[in-house]
Amino acid sequence: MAKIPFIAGSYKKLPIIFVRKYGILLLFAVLTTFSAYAQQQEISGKVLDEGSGLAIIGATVRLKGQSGIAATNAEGNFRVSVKSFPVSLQVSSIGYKSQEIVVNDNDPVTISLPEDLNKLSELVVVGYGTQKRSDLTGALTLITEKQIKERPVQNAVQALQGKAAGVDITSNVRPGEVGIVRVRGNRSINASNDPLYVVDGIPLSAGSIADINPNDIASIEILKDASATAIYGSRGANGVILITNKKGTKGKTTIEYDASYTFEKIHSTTNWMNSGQLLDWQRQAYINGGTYTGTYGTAPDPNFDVQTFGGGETYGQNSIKTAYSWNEDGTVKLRAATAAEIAKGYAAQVPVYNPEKMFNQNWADLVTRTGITQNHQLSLSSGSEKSQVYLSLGYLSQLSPMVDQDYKRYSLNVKGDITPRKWLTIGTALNATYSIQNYGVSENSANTGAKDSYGQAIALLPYAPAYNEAGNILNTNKVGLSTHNILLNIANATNEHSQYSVQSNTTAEVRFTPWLKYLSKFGAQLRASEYGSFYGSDYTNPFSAVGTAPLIGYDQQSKNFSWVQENLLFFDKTLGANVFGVTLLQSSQKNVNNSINIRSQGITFPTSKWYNLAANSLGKPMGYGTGYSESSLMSYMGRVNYSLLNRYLLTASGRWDGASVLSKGNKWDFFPSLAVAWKLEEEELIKKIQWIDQLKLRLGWGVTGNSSVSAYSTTGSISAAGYVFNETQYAGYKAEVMPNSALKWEKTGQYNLGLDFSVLKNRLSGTVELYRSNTSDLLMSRSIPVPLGYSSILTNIGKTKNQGIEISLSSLNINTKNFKWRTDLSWSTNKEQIVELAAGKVDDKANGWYIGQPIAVYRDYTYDRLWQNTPEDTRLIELYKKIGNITAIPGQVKVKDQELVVVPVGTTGSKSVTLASGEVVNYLDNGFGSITDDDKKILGSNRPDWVAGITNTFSYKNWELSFFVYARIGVEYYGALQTYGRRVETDVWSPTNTTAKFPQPTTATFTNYNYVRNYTDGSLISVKNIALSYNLPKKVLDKLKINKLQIYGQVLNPFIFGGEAVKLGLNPDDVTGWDSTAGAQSGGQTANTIVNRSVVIGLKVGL
Amino acid sequence: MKRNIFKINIAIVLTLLVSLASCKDFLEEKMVSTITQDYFDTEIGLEQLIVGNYNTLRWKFGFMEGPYLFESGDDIVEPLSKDWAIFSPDVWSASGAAGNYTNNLMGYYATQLLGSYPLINNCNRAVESIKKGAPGKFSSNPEYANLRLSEVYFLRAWTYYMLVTQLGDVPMPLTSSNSLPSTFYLPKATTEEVYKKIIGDLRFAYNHLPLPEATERGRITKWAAGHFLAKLYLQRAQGVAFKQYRNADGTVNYSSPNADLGLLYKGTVATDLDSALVFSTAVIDAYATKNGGTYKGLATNYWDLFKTARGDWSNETNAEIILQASYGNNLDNGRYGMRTDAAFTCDYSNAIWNIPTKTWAYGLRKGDGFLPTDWGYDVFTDKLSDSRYEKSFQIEYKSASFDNTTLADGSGLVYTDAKNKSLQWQAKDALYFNTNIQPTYDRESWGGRKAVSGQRKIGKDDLGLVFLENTKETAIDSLQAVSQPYVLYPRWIKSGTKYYYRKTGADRYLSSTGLSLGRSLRPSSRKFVDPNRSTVDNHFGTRDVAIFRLAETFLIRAEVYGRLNQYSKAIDDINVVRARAAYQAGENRAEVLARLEAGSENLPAPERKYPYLSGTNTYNKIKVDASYWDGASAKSKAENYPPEATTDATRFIHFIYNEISREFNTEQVIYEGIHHAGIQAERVIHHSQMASSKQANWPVSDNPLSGSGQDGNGKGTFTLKNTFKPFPQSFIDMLTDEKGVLLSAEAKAKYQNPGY
Repeated sequence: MAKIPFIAGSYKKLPIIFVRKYGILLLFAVLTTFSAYAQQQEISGKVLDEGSGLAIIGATVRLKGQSGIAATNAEGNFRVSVKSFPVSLQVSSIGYKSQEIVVNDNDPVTISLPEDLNKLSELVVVGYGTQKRSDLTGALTLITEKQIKERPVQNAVQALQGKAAGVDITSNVRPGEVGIVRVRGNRSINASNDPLYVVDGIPLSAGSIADINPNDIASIEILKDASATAIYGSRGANGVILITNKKGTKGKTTIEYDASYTFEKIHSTTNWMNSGQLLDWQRQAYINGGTYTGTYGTAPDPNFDVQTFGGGETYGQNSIKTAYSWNEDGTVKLRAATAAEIAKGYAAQVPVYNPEKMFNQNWADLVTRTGITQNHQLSLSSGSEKSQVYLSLGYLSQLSPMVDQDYKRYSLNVKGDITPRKWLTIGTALNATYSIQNYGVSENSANTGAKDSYGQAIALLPYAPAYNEAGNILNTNKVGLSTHNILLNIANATNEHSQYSVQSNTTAEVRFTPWLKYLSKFGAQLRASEYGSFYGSDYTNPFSAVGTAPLIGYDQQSKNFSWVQENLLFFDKTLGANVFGVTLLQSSQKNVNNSINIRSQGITFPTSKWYNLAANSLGKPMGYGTGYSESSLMSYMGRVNYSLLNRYLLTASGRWDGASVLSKGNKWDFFPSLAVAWKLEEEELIKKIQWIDQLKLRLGWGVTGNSSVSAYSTTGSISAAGYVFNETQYAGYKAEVMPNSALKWEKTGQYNLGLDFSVLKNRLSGTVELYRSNTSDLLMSRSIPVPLGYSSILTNIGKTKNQGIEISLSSLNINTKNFKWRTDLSWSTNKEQIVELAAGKVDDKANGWYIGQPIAVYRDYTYDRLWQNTPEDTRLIELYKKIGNITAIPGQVKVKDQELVVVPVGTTGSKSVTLASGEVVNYLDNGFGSITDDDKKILGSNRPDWVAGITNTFSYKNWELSFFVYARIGVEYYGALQTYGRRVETDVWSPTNTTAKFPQPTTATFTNYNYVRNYTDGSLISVKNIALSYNLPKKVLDKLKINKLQIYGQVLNPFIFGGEAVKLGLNPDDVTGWDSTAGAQSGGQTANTIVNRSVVIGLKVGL
Repeated sequence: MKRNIFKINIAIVLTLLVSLASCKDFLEEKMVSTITQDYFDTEIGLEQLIVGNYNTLRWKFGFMEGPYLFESGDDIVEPLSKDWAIFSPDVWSASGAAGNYTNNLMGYYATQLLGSYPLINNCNRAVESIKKGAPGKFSSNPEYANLRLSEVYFLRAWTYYMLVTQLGDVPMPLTSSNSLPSTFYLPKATTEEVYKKIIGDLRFAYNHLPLPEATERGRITKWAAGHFLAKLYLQRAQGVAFKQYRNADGTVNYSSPNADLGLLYKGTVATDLDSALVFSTAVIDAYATKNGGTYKGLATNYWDLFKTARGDWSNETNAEIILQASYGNNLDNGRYGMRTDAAFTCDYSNAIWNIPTKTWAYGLRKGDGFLPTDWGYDVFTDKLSDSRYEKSFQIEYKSASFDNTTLADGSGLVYTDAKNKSLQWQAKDALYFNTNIQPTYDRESWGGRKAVSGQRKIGKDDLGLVFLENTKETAIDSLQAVSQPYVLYPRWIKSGTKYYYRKTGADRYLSSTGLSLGRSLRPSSRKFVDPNRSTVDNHFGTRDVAIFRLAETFLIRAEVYGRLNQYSKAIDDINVVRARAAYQAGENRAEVLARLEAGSENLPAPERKYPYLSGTNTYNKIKVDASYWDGASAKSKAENYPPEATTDATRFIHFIYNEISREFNTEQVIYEGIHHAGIQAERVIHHSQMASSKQANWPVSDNPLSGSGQDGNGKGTFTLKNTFKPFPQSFIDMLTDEKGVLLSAEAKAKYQNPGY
């Protein structure tokens, strides 16, 4: 590890503590000194962390000017032989500033190393190798092990959220699932926008990021700009996430145990109406619509209420009756109405009605619990000069706060290497995972309807009971308000996903000369998944899906297998001030997927679920199938790194990629990159400026590709279309895909300008990146006129553009011995635009794609205002009725239309209508009077204007407190009326509240545009966690004979703030499933009315 | 030295690894589970391509597009979706739902449903394979090749016929396309050109197709081609009158308010009616002895064509069927199987009438669905004598429930069962029942019991839900209605001097549903209910649907005779259908018809007693003569002809379509008929209240419900333009001229159908 000059200049000011050890040891040392006179003397000592006072294990102690080296043991102690005194000891350890002390005698020494605030000397992982941070030329974000462990996370994706500028990650609260990751926006319309994951140098293809235990990760590097990702050529377009697993460290044996318990509760962000409030709301809608035709005027009428709102079934009807008082003979109790009541339409005698008394079923409570997540990990790491090994066992058990969802993951991770000869190192790694997920009550892949049990529960009315009189789960046999009793459905549905995953790799490194080495890598991944579902006889099939009817069992198994073979040659040579590095790569990869599925109905023995599908009422499956696909990739790559005077850096690379999924003649393409960097701090002029520690300017350009089309899409496949003659199935086929012999890579060219700086003795450091990427030859399913025999063809058409700014700042605001305050901030903005489409710069309305707009935008009518009861509006309403047959009524939403322009009779392009009053209105026929597609406007997008994350960390002695705040600002959100009619909403229109925000509920029929009111501001600021941790002081640790003991507690998601969507009780953070379609307004987890709040307690022990 | 040798070894290994990995065909894509289109040039591939093309016959029944395109816009059925029913301009626009459904007809769902143009492309491909490559048997056996070619011609003709019916002039590609052309120049062929081509192809097919006896059931036969030809010749003759609305060059005259009628003009060929006569007669003669010859080949009982039960598909083989869309008895029937079973059903399940669940026997509805208009019931002018009314519509539901454990229908609960949640007797209606109904109420399941206030009304095997489609003049008294031993839904009830239209509220007519709201409770079609569907909650039907049946051939020939002024021959043909429609002696009538239907009081007393047998054959009561369209007689008035029908000749044409309405309701046949005859708009505007904008054409009720109820006025906006669908906007937006330039707004407007 290179020593950085400006550190060397400052070490003398740092305190060096000499501690006298116990007397016996001293005596022993003295005796030893004498006995080993002239030839052999020894120094012993201890290396400590300056901040915590804890021992540093595996620190290197080197004798300057003499040969001799030692490493500290598990107690931080070292012992090294010296020839003569005085001698300089150089002590270094990763993450600490190196120290040099002069020792004059053989007294034991204690050396405290300060934390290295300057990360420049760190080695970071880049594509196919490692680089010193200070020598980087591309845009990269490093997430350290420490950052990963700040929050207890269940998967690697969660750990990245909000930590990396330019990386937008959504939340996904379902146990066992990961959020969506977008690096610098979306580029592709039809092809994938997912980044490439590379684990220990091997691209994940069959494996899944969900299978990686985040506790095993040593670091995550996110390569963002093309100059860095072009090294991955055809797969680099969406960013590359490099995951490096932990490995053993030389001279260090550690055993660690981490445990955390998370107690999670669903907190409803929406204030729901109770039974009485809801019944009143619904009745009011009838009264407003003039259809409340009860016997007591507008006063509540039990007969009408039971009839209309009771759901035609006794349990629901009886619930409604509880709001009324009843006489012995079964008639309703009456009272005299007040004058005020009579004035508003009550009869003289009205029923005694008390909505507060009404039966109220809190459905949400029935499907929620305190979810407990346990995360345990036991790891062992050991290393000698010749071999190193890391071994860990992990167990994750996640009980969702929804009673029907859980997830368990067992993981084993082994990584080790052996250096049997000086020139050879053999390494191997194995990561095996088994996981099992109870998905929950139903898999609803439709755009509408609840996605989970909570969503289904809150859709049930509070006056629909869940239990019968005997206290058992109520089954109304598919009638009435309790039809889809969620408890009944939970009891009758099983949806289980299980995965067996093995990821392994073997490497062999041969070092021919100090400047030339060869590396061979072979990685294999196997992931076998099974999905089994079964629905019991009382399942009510709320979405009427074919596969989820009662007594249907389904089993689907799939196997994904892939292997990667890579051969690499590395040359590294220094010639004077010139440093050269050359990397050459050859790589091939194959993926094979196959699957089988069977569905049977009328399962004979419900207990057999999907394990005996042959036992069914038909005597044969209702459906079955198998699938197979195979694809391969081949690549050659060359890269040159050149550094002049440690000041000017250049990286150039070129990669040739070939993919089997592309058409003949278009399989191969070339992906170049070039990046230069200028380390300004090395220039004399800047060196003179004391407060600047680092100032580096980077400029990079690169081309990356995307071939994420499915296999067999270029040759024109055919598909089955059987038909029946004489009740016998005849095989039939039809052409399905128009062949496209020209299909090639989708390409992204990206420029990146970056500035890295570190000032004020590294107290403030950061990075600013500006980038622009242009994607062309978009792999796009293009609609074509269907008389051509096909409705679409997958082609390379169109262009998109992304540009943005990313800022990362890290500041040590206060740095005293006992108290430190540190702030880490990331902020980014990205503008995503469609530049060209199939027909050039012409919008594609059919697909919802518009030039100059992000890929997913909302295009709809614009909310204007609510119709009013004024003479002007009455006239306007009549005009709309006469011209466009639009029925409008006061209190309902009016959308923006063309202006009414009244012109003299006879004006060209004018029409006239006669109103009931006899008035003749001659108006310009400019589109006024009818609401058509032309009145729609682009209203916004669900892409945020900017995203930011800020972490503040305070440490005082052994205590540390941190909190993380995350913001997504400037998001258009569809959902202001999502809970309307069920949430407590007082700001609704009435003749006396004409300035209301929301339309009046009514049963009247009119031309309904109320849904337009759904578009609203979805900005969000969320406090994601507050964490407090405590390290046991050394004294106590020594007594317990352990190395390290940390206990911590956290609160997750305590607060949420934001725009109108948040104010209305929605949580716009969970956008899972809302992103895939251009409409982007339907679907989504119904979890958007909740926040999952958790309390975590954890323990880390190091032996 | 040793070290160097090692290095060399490593180098060899390295070279080996590299060369192994770069094997030349490593990136070659080998088809494994899918095959390329070259397969269609093999004998077996060509066979299977032709089989695949048969899916066009399922198009109308495979999803909801069929009913949305071929039932909404006729006068006897209406969509329950209000916006559809009122022909809301929002729905009926090029970018609205109507445009979307047209897109689906043209082939948007190409990958799943084999829409029209993808299918035509596949047919063209098959024609080319047979004519050019002719693999195997196709060249060694020319007769066989011609037979298969005839099937392909028929299927392509059928597909073009669907397109022309919905869109008028359409592009007519006759060669297959397999690569992206440089322009999207797709000019339209006139309907004249399309009819000329498909009639020519069908003439070839007629000469080469086998007789039904010589091929598998479900394949195209000679008689299917004959029936189709008769229909097409008649339609071309029907369109002659509209030549005036076309320009000299054959394009449509957009400036004419009758431009849409112009689209119906398909050329003038003087011999067309004679050709129609020849082909219909050939078919009629060929079928004369089928089904024992009782009704000249027609099924002996109308219900035989539709009856089905769990495990019973016997109706599918009835000899009256000339062509059908075939669905296997297993469930492997494409994406949705036969989905029409879920299109026409009402919301019959409710514990209040002791049918708490959906059942196999009564079917289910998916989506908004379709139900008859009032005219759809009233076109049956004599419900007591024309058995097709109760055979077409489910007017009575017996108590029933579905057992989830055995997956079988069970009869409903006995009335004393604690779980029986059916309507309870109240003192007033119990008294009325015991006094006026019970003494003669001898239904077996009833067991002669008296009504007791507080007891459940409907027991095991009792009637649960019953519909009475009466008129304002024959409105039933509300006390009488509520006192029936089941839940009765009359169209009209009266209470004192007040008349109410379609009040619901599961039991006691409390709710004022009226015309526009809650329209899903009315008699619904029984014809497609499928007890053999996948699950009780689902459609995925398995029953075949008749596309052509002999009754239609008779009515086609009747119209041809009429147009040739040979009315007595026309009457003979109509009466073949009528004779079969009558109740035969000893046949059961529905209880509601025998006891409550207007006119039932005149039935002989034994016919009014359970099990309500018809004592005599009722054919004489419904036998047709020329008075049915004379404009003056009671029979003629009952046919409710539109005001435009002012002559015997025009009333006769309307009578034919009234008869098709009775015979073919919900079979997606009437739409084509009234459409090509050019009388669609006048019929819809006169008969379909939701679609029509006509004022004061219907009786007024006392529950008008703030404008959306029965106030006697039409609720819709139907005009002539709605007789054709708009071309989808997304389709027109893609089109170019010959040079590849996108169409101008003006050119687009000209491509689009008139009025859109």
